[in-house]
Amino acid sequence: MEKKTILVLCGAGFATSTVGGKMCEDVCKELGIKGNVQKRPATQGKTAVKQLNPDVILLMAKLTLDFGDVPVVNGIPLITGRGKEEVKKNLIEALSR
Amino acid sequence: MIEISEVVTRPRIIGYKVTSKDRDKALHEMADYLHSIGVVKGTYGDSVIERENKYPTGIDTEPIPVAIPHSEREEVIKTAILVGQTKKGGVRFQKIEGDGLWVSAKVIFMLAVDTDQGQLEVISQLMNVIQDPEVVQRIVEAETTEEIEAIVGSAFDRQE
Repeated sequence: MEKKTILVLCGAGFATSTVGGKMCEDVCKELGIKGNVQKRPATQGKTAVKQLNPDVILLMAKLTLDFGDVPVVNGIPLITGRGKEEVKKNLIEALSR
Repeated sequence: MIEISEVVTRPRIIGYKVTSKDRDKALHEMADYLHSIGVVKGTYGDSVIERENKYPTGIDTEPIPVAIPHSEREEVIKTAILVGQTKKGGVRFQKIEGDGLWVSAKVIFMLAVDTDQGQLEVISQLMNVIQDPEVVQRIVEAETTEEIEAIVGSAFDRQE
Protein backbone atom coordinates (compact mmCIF):
# COMPACT_ATOMS: atom_id res chain seq x y z
CA MET A 1 0.00 0.00 0.00
CA GLU A 2 1.26 3.45 -0.87
CA LYS A 3 2.29 5.48 2.14
CA LYS A 4 1.94 9.25 2.51
CA THR A 5 2.93 11.54 5.31
CA ILE A 6 0.61 14.38 6.23
CA LEU A 7 1.60 17.12 8.63
CA VAL A 8 -1.21 18.95 10.41
CA LEU A 9 -0.25 22.25 12.01
CA CYS A 10 -2.25 24.40 14.41
CA GLY A 11 -1.68 26.90 17.17
CA ALA A 12 -1.34 24.68 20.21
CA GLY A 13 -0.87 21.41 18.34
CA PHE A 14 -3.85 19.53 19.66
CA ALA A 15 -7.19 21.25 19.36
CA THR A 16 -7.95 22.28 15.82
CA SER A 17 -5.34 19.88 14.44
CA THR A 18 -7.46 17.05 15.80
CA VAL A 19 -10.22 18.05 13.45
CA GLY A 20 -7.77 18.31 10.56
CA GLY A 21 -6.21 14.97 11.44
CA LYS A 22 -9.54 13.24 11.32
CA MET A 23 -10.23 14.56 7.84
CA CYS A 24 -6.78 13.36 6.69
CA GLU A 25 -7.44 9.86 7.97
CA ASP A 26 -10.79 9.77 6.22
CA VAL A 27 -9.28 10.92 2.95
CA CYS A 28 -6.46 8.36 3.14
CA LYS A 29 -8.95 5.60 3.73
CA GLU A 30 -10.96 6.76 0.78
CA LEU A 31 -7.90 6.83 -1.46
CA GLY A 32 -6.73 3.45 -0.19
CA ILE A 33 -3.37 4.76 0.96
CA LYS A 34 -1.61 4.38 4.27
CA GLY A 35 -1.58 7.79 5.90
CA ASN A 36 0.98 8.77 8.48
CA VAL A 37 -0.82 11.74 10.04
CA GLN A 38 1.35 13.84 12.35
CA LYS A 39 0.03 16.76 14.39
CA ARG A 40 2.32 19.51 15.57
CA PRO A 41 2.03 22.99 17.08
CA ALA A 42 2.89 25.83 14.74
CA THR A 43 6.10 26.60 16.60
CA GLN A 44 7.46 23.21 15.55
CA GLY A 45 6.34 23.62 11.94
CA LYS A 46 9.72 24.19 10.33
CA THR A 47 11.47 21.41 12.24
CA ALA A 48 8.63 18.99 11.57
CA VAL A 49 8.80 19.64 7.82
CA LYS A 50 12.52 18.84 7.85
CA GLN A 51 12.12 15.73 9.97
CA LEU A 52 9.03 14.25 8.37
CA ASN A 53 9.39 15.42 4.79
CA PRO A 54 5.57 15.40 4.44
CA ASP A 55 3.67 14.92 1.18
CA VAL A 56 1.22 17.61 2.19
CA ILE A 57 0.71 20.11 5.00
CA LEU A 58 -2.75 20.87 6.35
CA LEU A 59 -2.86 24.25 8.07
CA MET A 60 -5.35 24.74 10.89
CA ALA A 61 -4.09 28.21 11.83
CA LYS A 62 -2.83 31.15 9.91
CA LEU A 63 0.87 30.63 9.33
CA THR A 64 3.12 32.62 7.10
CA LEU A 65 6.02 30.19 7.16
CA ASP A 66 7.71 29.18 3.96
CA PHE A 67 7.33 25.45 3.42
CA GLY A 68 9.26 25.25 0.16
CA ASP A 69 7.83 22.82 -2.37
CA VAL A 70 5.48 20.99 -0.01
CA PRO A 71 1.85 21.52 -1.02
CA VAL A 72 -0.18 23.33 1.61
CA VAL A 73 -3.93 22.97 2.15
CA ASN A 74 -5.92 25.46 4.20
CA GLY A 75 -7.94 23.45 6.74
CA ILE A 76 -9.72 26.30 8.51
CA PRO A 77 -13.04 25.64 6.70
CA LEU A 78 -13.22 22.41 8.72
CA ILE A 79 -13.68 24.60 11.78
CA THR A 80 -16.04 27.21 10.39
CA GLY A 81 -18.07 24.54 8.59
CA ARG A 82 -18.12 26.44 5.32
CA GLY A 83 -16.14 24.91 2.45
CA LYS A 84 -15.39 21.54 4.06
CA GLU A 85 -15.76 19.78 0.71
CA GLU A 86 -13.19 22.09 -0.83
CA VAL A 87 -10.65 21.08 1.84
CA LYS A 88 -11.30 17.44 1.10
CA LYS A 89 -10.94 18.01 -2.62
CA ASN A 90 -7.64 19.84 -2.15
CA LEU A 91 -6.30 17.10 0.11
CA ILE A 92 -7.22 14.39 -2.37
CA GLU A 93 -5.57 16.36 -5.14
CA ALA A 94 -2.36 16.86 -3.17
CA LEU A 95 -2.24 13.22 -2.11
CA SER A 96 -2.86 11.91 -5.60
CA ARG A 97 0.27 13.53 -6.98
CA MET B 1 -29.16 3.28 33.00
CA ILE B 2 -26.03 5.09 31.90
CA GLU B 3 -23.44 2.99 30.19
CA ILE B 4 -19.80 3.44 31.06
CA SER B 5 -18.84 4.30 27.48
CA GLU B 6 -21.14 7.33 27.54
CA VAL B 7 -19.61 8.62 30.71
CA VAL B 8 -16.16 8.38 29.22
CA THR B 9 -16.81 9.98 25.85
CA ARG B 10 -18.99 12.87 26.86
CA PRO B 11 -17.01 15.73 28.34
CA ARG B 12 -18.10 17.66 31.35
CA ILE B 13 -20.05 20.67 30.14
CA ILE B 14 -20.50 23.70 32.33
CA GLY B 15 -22.86 26.55 31.53
CA TYR B 16 -21.81 30.10 32.29
CA LYS B 17 -22.98 33.69 31.85
CA VAL B 18 -20.17 36.04 30.91
CA THR B 19 -20.43 39.49 32.47
CA SER B 20 -17.42 41.22 30.87
CA LYS B 21 -17.66 42.63 27.39
CA ASP B 22 -13.92 43.06 27.02
CA ARG B 23 -12.17 39.99 25.59
CA ASP B 24 -9.32 39.73 28.08
CA LYS B 25 -11.59 40.37 31.04
CA ALA B 26 -14.06 37.79 29.76
CA LEU B 27 -11.31 35.20 29.31
CA HIS B 28 -9.93 35.88 32.78
CA GLU B 29 -13.38 35.70 34.28
CA MET B 30 -14.03 32.33 32.64
CA ALA B 31 -10.60 30.89 33.47
CA ASP B 32 -10.93 32.03 37.08
CA TYR B 33 -14.24 30.27 37.30
CA LEU B 34 -12.72 27.05 35.94
CA HIS B 35 -9.89 27.42 38.43
CA SER B 36 -12.33 27.90 41.29
CA ILE B 37 -13.96 24.55 40.55
CA GLY B 38 -10.65 22.74 40.12
CA VAL B 39 -10.66 22.27 36.34
CA VAL B 40 -7.55 24.28 35.46
CA LYS B 41 -4.51 25.79 37.12
CA GLY B 42 -4.51 29.44 38.19
CA THR B 43 -2.33 30.48 35.27
CA TYR B 44 -4.81 29.27 32.67
CA GLY B 45 -6.33 32.69 31.94
CA ASP B 46 -2.98 34.29 31.13
CA SER B 47 -2.00 31.39 28.90
CA VAL B 48 -5.27 31.46 27.00
CA ILE B 49 -4.91 35.19 26.36
CA GLU B 50 -1.32 34.80 25.24
CA ARG B 51 -2.31 32.06 22.83
CA GLU B 52 -5.36 33.97 21.63
CA ASN B 53 -3.13 36.92 20.72
CA LYS B 54 -0.91 34.68 18.61
CA TYR B 55 -3.50 32.26 17.22
CA PRO B 56 -6.97 33.75 17.50
CA THR B 57 -10.04 31.52 17.79
CA GLY B 58 -12.98 33.69 16.77
CA ILE B 59 -15.15 31.80 14.27
CA ASP B 60 -17.71 33.48 12.06
CA THR B 61 -20.18 30.63 12.13
CA GLU B 62 -23.45 31.76 10.58
CA PRO B 63 -25.56 33.40 11.68
CA ILE B 64 -24.03 33.63 15.17
CA PRO B 65 -20.25 33.88 15.66
CA VAL B 66 -18.53 31.93 18.43
CA ALA B 67 -15.01 31.55 19.84
CA ILE B 68 -13.11 28.51 21.11
CA PRO B 69 -10.28 29.87 23.31
CA HIS B 70 -7.97 27.26 24.83
CA SER B 71 -4.44 26.63 25.95
CA GLU B 72 -1.89 23.90 26.49
CA ARG B 73 -2.87 20.66 28.13
CA GLU B 74 -0.30 21.04 30.91
CA GLU B 75 -2.55 23.55 32.62
CA VAL B 76 -5.65 21.42 32.54
CA ILE B 77 -6.46 19.35 35.59
CA LYS B 78 -9.75 17.82 34.44
CA THR B 79 -11.29 17.94 30.99
CA ALA B 80 -14.28 20.27 30.70
CA ILE B 81 -15.87 22.73 28.33
CA LEU B 82 -17.11 25.98 29.78
CA VAL B 83 -19.90 27.33 27.60
CA GLY B 84 -20.18 31.07 28.17
CA GLN B 85 -23.17 33.04 26.96
CA THR B 86 -22.09 36.66 26.50
CA LYS B 87 -24.00 39.88 27.05
CA LYS B 88 -26.05 41.03 24.10
CA GLY B 89 -23.37 42.69 22.00
CA GLY B 90 -21.01 39.74 22.29
CA VAL B 91 -17.27 39.80 22.91
CA ARG B 92 -14.91 40.74 20.11
CA PHE B 93 -12.42 38.10 19.02
CA GLN B 94 -10.05 38.08 16.10
CA LYS B 95 -10.92 35.52 13.47
CA ILE B 96 -9.15 32.18 13.40
CA GLU B 97 -8.27 32.77 9.74
CA GLY B 98 -5.81 35.41 10.93
CA ASP B 99 -6.99 37.86 8.31
CA GLY B 100 -7.07 40.63 10.89
CA LEU B 101 -10.85 40.73 10.93
CA TRP B 102 -12.96 40.49 14.08
CA VAL B 103 -16.17 38.78 15.04
CA SER B 104 -18.48 39.45 17.97
CA ALA B 105 -18.73 36.05 19.57
CA LYS B 106 -22.06 35.44 21.31
CA VAL B 107 -20.98 32.13 22.77
CA ILE B 108 -17.50 31.45 24.11
CA PHE B 109 -16.53 27.78 24.39
CA MET B 110 -13.52 27.71 26.67
CA LEU B 111 -11.84 24.35 26.16
CA ALA B 112 -9.98 22.73 28.98
CA VAL B 113 -9.05 19.46 27.36
CA ASP B 114 -6.55 16.98 28.66
CA THR B 115 -5.79 15.48 25.32
CA ASP B 116 -3.08 12.97 25.82
CA GLN B 117 -5.44 10.16 25.07
CA GLY B 118 -9.10 9.62 24.75
CA GLN B 119 -10.25 13.20 24.79
CA LEU B 120 -9.44 14.11 21.22
CA GLU B 121 -12.85 13.04 20.08
CA VAL B 122 -14.27 15.82 22.26
CA ILE B 123 -12.82 18.43 19.93
CA SER B 124 -14.29 16.89 16.79
CA GLN B 125 -17.65 16.62 18.49
CA LEU B 126 -17.48 20.23 19.59
CA MET B 127 -16.90 21.35 16.00
CA ASN B 128 -20.13 19.66 14.98
CA VAL B 129 -21.90 21.39 17.85
CA ILE B 130 -20.68 24.88 16.93
CA GLN B 131 -21.54 24.30 13.28
CA ASP B 132 -25.17 23.65 14.18
CA PRO B 133 -26.90 27.07 13.97
CA GLU B 134 -29.91 25.88 15.91
CA VAL B 135 -27.85 24.76 18.89
CA VAL B 136 -25.90 28.03 19.00
CA GLN B 137 -29.12 30.02 18.74
CA ARG B 138 -30.58 28.13 21.67
CA ILE B 139 -27.50 28.74 23.81
CA VAL B 140 -27.79 32.46 23.10
CA GLU B 141 -31.43 32.42 24.20
CA ALA B 142 -30.92 30.24 27.28
CA GLU B 143 -32.09 31.86 30.50
CA THR B 144 -30.08 29.82 32.97
CA THR B 145 -26.71 28.09 33.08
CA GLU B 146 -28.51 24.78 33.64
CA GLU B 147 -30.35 25.33 30.38
CA ILE B 148 -27.06 25.93 28.58
CA GLU B 149 -25.71 22.68 29.98
CA ALA B 150 -28.79 20.76 28.86
CA ILE B 151 -28.67 22.20 25.32
CA VAL B 152 -24.98 21.50 24.77
CA GLY B 153 -25.14 18.15 26.55
CA SER B 154 -27.91 16.85 24.33
CA ALA B 155 -26.12 18.19 21.24
CA PHE B 156 -23.10 16.07 22.22
CA ASP B 157 -25.27 13.05 22.93
CA ARG B 158 -26.91 13.22 19.53
CA GLN B 159 -23.59 12.49 17.87
CA GLU B 160 -22.95 9.21 19.56
